[in-house]
Amino acid sequence: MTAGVGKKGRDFSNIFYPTATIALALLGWELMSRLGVAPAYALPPPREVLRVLVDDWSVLASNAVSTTAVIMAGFSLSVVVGVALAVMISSSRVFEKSVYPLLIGSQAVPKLALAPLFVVWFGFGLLPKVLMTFLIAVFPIVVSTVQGIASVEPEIEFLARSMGLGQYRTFRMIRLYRALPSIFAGLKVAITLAVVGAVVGEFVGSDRGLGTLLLRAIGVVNTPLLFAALIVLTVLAVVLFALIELLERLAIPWHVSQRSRSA
Amino acid sequence: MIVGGLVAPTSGEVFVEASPVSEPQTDLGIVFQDPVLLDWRTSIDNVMIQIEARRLDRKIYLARARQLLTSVGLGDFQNKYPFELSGGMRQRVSICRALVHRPRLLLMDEPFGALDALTRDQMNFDLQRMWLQEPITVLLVTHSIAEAVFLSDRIVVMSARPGHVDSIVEVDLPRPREADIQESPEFARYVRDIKHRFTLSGIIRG
Repeated sequence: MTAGVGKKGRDFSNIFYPTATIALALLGWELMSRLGVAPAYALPPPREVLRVLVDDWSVLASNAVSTTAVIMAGFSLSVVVGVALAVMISSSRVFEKSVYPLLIGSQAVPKLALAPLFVVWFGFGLLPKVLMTFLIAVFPIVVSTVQGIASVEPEIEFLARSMGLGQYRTFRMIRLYRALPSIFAGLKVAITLAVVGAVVGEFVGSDRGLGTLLLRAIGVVNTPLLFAALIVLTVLAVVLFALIELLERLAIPWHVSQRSRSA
Repeated sequence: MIVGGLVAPTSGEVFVEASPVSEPQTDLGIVFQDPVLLDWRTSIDNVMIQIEARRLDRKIYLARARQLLTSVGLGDFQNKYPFELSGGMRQRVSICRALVHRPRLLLMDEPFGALDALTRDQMNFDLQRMWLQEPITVLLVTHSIAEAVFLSDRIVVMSARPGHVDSIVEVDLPRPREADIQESPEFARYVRDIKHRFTLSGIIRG
């Protein structure tokens, strides 16, 4: 089978290759479990996992909703705070030199170690989980936004000055747009990390969500449930990532990275 | 850059219409070697940013912006984005942007340097045509002697670094200057004369 050029060919490729890969993986999985490569508690056969997915879909769904809420809350917070921080870092030398190093240093602290501390401080509930998500997701947003704002050629400055634009208007009319592609790159990384953050938060201090479900499944060695929860989590992450990509398409259709697909 | 008040002179003073330049000047249009267009705006919107930035009346200047773009042959490309335009087209949009607000002065810093030779020649003609329709003081920086002689009334020949004024040449060729003027003996004489000055000052070593 060949992937042709042109839109039809590309559409075909877009569907065929991922589907074929997944189908092959499923086949491999089925084969391995039949051959008894690993014991059933370690590698359950696909149909077991499928059974759980179908039978317990409402449990999986409600937990997925809970986790999604945490992800969205934490992600939104990290976007707002992250972009704001980046703008301040870009505009003020003082701010940059005092805050940026602290921010970078804070990334070295393993968030998983902080999670129990958050539970002690904030109890069980939404806050520690959202906070965890926020902390993990905010860094790539700050870095990519700072980068985006900084990579503006000097001629733009000259042009803006010659048109009589002050700092604020130069930023609003020009710099911000120029930075959008970078910002979106950061958002894509951040949303993926937000999923991780939410699950980590749920591991430590929660009674609901996919992370909690994962822990419970491990606790009773219910591997089919574990696999099922992981699959739901993966699908969730992919969907969220795709959403950000869709937003990107809508926000910066003019950028070179968006063109190669439609041209 | 110095005339535009964007870069401070190392010594001496600059006067624009008898007032000294000490801060970024705004009653002018600038064209850089790079068109510096905003990727997210169409051609017409790129030209109009000059108007928006200065908070002038959009409606009044929109007609002028359209007319300027049409006069450089981009009438059908008003709603195209920069990535859909060639280098020469982008530079033309940049020139329109520099002129839309009717400035006193047009500064051009090697505006055609990044274009291929044929496009460059074409742009020279286009610039002269625009200038004949709307006369304006133009300060053009170029490394092309032929371009300078073709376009200018007065050429300021600069020395090697540190750059200072070497000499001033008045170009007394009739306007409008047609393409074939580049073959005329008078034209050649000017070019030879300036080349000679460069050789004397050491910029061109024969």
